[in-house]
Amino acid sequence: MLERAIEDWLTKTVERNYLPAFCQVLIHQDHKVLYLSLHGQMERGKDLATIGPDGSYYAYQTKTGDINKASWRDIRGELQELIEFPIDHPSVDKRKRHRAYLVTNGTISEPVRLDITEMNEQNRRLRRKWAKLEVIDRFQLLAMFVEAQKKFFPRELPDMRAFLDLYLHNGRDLLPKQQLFSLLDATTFSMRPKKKSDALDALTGAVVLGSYLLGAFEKERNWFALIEGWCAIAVSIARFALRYQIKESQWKPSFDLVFSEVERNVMELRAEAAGRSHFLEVPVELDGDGLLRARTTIVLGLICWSEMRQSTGPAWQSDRGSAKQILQKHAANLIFWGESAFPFFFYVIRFLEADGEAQEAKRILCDLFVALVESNYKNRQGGFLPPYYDAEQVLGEQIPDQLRVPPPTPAGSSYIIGTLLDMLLRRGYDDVIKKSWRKYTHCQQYEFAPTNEWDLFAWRASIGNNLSSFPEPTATLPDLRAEAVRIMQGTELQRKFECLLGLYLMVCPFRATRSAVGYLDWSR
Amino acid sequence: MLLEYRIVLPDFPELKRRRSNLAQIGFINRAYSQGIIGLINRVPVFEGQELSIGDVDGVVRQSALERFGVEFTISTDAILAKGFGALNEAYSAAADDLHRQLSEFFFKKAHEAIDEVGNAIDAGGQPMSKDLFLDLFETPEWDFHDNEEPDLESVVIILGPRFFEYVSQNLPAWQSDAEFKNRWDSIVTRKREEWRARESHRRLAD
Repeated sequence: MLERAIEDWLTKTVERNYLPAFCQVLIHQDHKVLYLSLHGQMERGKDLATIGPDGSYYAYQTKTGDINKASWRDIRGELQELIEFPIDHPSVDKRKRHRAYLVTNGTISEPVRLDITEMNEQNRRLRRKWAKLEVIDRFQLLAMFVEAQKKFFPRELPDMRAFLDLYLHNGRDLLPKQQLFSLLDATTFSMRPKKKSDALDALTGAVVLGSYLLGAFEKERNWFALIEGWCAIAVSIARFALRYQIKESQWKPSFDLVFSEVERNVMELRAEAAGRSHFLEVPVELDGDGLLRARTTIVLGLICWSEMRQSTGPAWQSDRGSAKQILQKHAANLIFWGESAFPFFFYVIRFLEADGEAQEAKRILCDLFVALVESNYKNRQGGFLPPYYDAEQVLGEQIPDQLRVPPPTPAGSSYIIGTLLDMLLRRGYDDVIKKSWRKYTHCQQYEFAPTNEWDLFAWRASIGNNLSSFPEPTATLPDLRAEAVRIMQGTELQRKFECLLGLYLMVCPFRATRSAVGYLDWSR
Repeated sequence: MLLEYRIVLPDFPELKRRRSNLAQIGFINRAYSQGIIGLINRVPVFEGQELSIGDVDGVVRQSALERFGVEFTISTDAILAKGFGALNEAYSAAADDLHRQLSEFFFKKAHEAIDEVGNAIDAGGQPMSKDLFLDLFETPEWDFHDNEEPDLESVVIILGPRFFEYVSQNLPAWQSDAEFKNRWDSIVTRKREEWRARESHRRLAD
């Protein structure tokens, strides 16, 4: 079953989708990744470059499908670069020859194999100091991936079903995040590692599993689902590492690999958004209004996040001008559908501030705060659904085609109103606070505090406390401001996973606590 | 477990799923939307098992989640005789039972809160009267609209069926009584002052 599932995926997928899994298998074999192509742009014929456990340099070019004489002619030039030019990386001694691999998820025809042998032989005879070209085909990849996965393949029926649901997904919808989180929990991260190799096996299993579970979304170029999916895998790695106190040297390479996939998909999403005159999706007759506006809010929030983050990835390309253009063009369609929209608005506000549009940022922030205060005042009707309801659930409630149990009336309570107050305090927008203070104090505030720190990265924590409180009616601005500023220092955990935190709040908006947002609301 | 039985006759699982959905909606509406329970805003618990609830006075109460449940069975004979109606009947009875449990729990908690703040009214065995009825409005806090008119939805008086019937019958006559009206107006005036004082307390100092 496992072998068939992986083979099915492998034969149907493209190199972009199997590359992270392949890379993770190399990491498991003690390779150190030097370079990984983020968006299909090879570095002198190399998609991936590593230092192996033997200290040798390795360079890989990945391809999709069978390689026969015709396709061999097409790729010959790229392969020539692969073997001829050394790896371009500061830590590489260019005098030292590298090992070169052509990797494909198809087969390599016999005539091509003979050509490769002849080419290698000729280069040797002519004493060219070029790398010998070696090949890794579908059968070798399959063996690698089956080996990486065999300990973690779902065995219980519910997990099997969740696995199949994701694997056979149409790839166009939003990612069923709960299923992915649950499946990772129930398979690769289900057991406490007893030795170092157990932890490495689990990390490798997660990346390989993730690669083929997200295959359907890759095929449909569903960038947002891929961003959420890879983020869920990164978050699950972080949780696993925290829970079992895995050494950073063990989990970090896998985490970085997964995060590079997030970056790649964000760049794809940005490119897609920049090239669009509108954000409607087919069938456009059924699109528009709330659907268009929610999509726009998500895309703009993600683009603004990508501009505001402190990237360390060498292939990451910032383009503030393009981001600004996209935002200006589509900002009129922003919509606050419910409290789960807050993290997207947070990054729009932060981006506008960083881009010298403080007045517009202030307008959005103040409008949000006032809307929450007014809609929750009087405790009867209105309010916005809690951040546990995503855009699709909120919008789905407005389509009266199905009988279903309506969500609760959220009026009078909020998970994010205190967070917005903190943002206003930190910016000194005291006039708005004073004006709304009386009504603000009527709103009950909620927050969930997991008992175990690692459960901050859980889809749902089974142990923890649901806190609710009303603001102190009589307060002083300096005291409130001091607290709002204090939380900007952040916790050790927030600092450790800073690169992940902002995106995580967009994927799991119910984790946008005052503390988490406070930490991110600091111009470092 | 998945294959508990073998399907040997034609079946309609999708229609059963829709029937199940319909029955559950009816169950939840009946259990949660009627009576005093229907007047309370509900906030679901999405994760965790503990609650720390802070009230308007800043007092925080810790509690664990309490589980309520109803067991019921439907006989094959009932299904053969009444079809889907048998399920609806069973669900309705179960919903009423759950509603009763929730209401009892609510009153238990309300009594604890009333005892704690000490604003219980002891009628001393007197029968319901217009004075006693007005007394009921003296203790709770009232909200007012921004135009300072009383927000009477914020004041909920719960009466048993016997008292409710008595009040319903007599209220029109009481409302035309000058003494009743004067006392009502004075309660409204006093409650408005209390509300103003409370709201003016919600101050943000520089």
